[in-house]
Amino acid sequence: MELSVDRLTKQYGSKIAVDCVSTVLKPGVYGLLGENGAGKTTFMRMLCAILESTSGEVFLDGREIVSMGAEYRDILGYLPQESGYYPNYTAKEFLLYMAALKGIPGDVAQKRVQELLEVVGLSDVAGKKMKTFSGGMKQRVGIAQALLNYPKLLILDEPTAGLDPKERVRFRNLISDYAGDRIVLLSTHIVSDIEAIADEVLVMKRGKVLTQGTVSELTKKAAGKVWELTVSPAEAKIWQEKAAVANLRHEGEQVVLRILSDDKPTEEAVSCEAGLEDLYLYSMREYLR
Amino acid sequence: MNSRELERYLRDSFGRGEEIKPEKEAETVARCMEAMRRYGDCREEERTGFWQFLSDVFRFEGLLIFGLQAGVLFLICMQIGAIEDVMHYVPAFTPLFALAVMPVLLRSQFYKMGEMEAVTRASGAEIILAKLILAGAVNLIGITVVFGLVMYRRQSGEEIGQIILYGLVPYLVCMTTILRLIRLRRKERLPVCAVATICYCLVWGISANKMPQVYETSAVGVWIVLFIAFAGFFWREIRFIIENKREGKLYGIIG
Repeated sequence: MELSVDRLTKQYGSKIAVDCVSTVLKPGVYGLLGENGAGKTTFMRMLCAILESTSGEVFLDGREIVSMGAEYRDILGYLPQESGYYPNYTAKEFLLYMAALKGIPGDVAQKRVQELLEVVGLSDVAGKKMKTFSGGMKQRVGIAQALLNYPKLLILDEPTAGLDPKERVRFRNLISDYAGDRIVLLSTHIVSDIEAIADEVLVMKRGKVLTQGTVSELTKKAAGKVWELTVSPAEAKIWQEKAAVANLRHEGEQVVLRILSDDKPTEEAVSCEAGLEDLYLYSMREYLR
Repeated sequence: MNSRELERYLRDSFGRGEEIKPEKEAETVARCMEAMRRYGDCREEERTGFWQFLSDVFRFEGLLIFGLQAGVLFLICMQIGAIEDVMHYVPAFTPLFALAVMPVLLRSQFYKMGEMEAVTRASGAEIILAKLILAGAVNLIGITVVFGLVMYRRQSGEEIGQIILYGLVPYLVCMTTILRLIRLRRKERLPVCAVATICYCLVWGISANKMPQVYETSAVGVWIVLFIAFAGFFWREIRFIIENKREGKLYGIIG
């Protein structure tokens, strides 16, 4: 299975939300990183065929997805960024309702709903109305509904938002297990989530895919650009203004800065190992100053 | 059958034959298992058809649809009992049935479920069509009850044709407007449409007293022309939904 994106563009008036994005997604987990307004949600909505592109197309195994209609939606699972819910439905009723919309026969749906409620850790509150749920619980129901039809293409827009650390780990394990020969695309601001499960990472900025590659490929790009510098609190303020400071931590009277820079910022700076977060912040470094 | 059981089964089967080379046996077992795995992946899961889908929508939305329509019918029945010249007020009653359909059609938008529902196998058109079939059937019953009660109050079956026209024309005007706004994805105009429908009822109610000429037998021709025109517009909207459903295209307000 191959999802190929060909010069996909979305324009709202004079604003270009997604700018001529071309990429190929093959089975595996893809992480989509980018600041707010980078075009991630617009890109994902076009991949789900719920938003018409201004130009460009998306093909699944050579077939244009909009023309595939129900056949495409049948293999698709999607969790929107702002996922709604019917407050008077219980978690089980909600999932059965979504299963009905997905065309899953009743007996199969009953079994699958039970199974997914256990997977997302909500089987003990399956009979409770969703209006009583916390944000994280609603998010878990949203994840469960996306998996109802065992989609071959799973698109999750900020699935870890609202999940506590334990649930995030459970979610990461779930996605890793699930992926196999399926395509999973997820966006999040939590770089460590992507670092943990993504086979490939796409970094978006101002509607364009800045870079795409495996975590190790991308971290190599940031190698030699990450520096640590120990300074006084007064100096730290100066450094924050003149350099891209990715992190700042206090050690006694001193402050340790993590600086992203092509060149060694000062003789006292020490080069350190780069992570995906460094690469991401390096790509967005103008916002750090 | 899981992969371990399959492997055991294949090995047992080979064990019964003669002169089988061990290396070929392993290769064949691996090939069969790969084929079974592929078959398992490619096997398409069964999906429900439209009538099963309609029954599911009824199961989940039926109570809301029937509740709202029953509420409207009850209010109208109360009015029919209280008003003297009830026939001229029929145009003020029937748009309320259309108004009661709106929460059902727009529930997913209200609860921000539009996107989630739009990516399911059932297209937006299929969901709206199922809701319209159910709500339309209840509307038909409700409107028939209203016509029956009006005739009962008048103690006469005369002018039944006029009563039907007075009832159906405003209903079709409202339903066509609602469906057109949904088709054109004019989300922001739908609350205006709801208010306009209520105002529309008031205008027709006032017209019963202030413009009696509208209800004279000589005006029936105009009512017939309006009926044909709006039945045509309404059918056009329904046909558009059916075509979208057939082609699996997106329909309506998504997000």
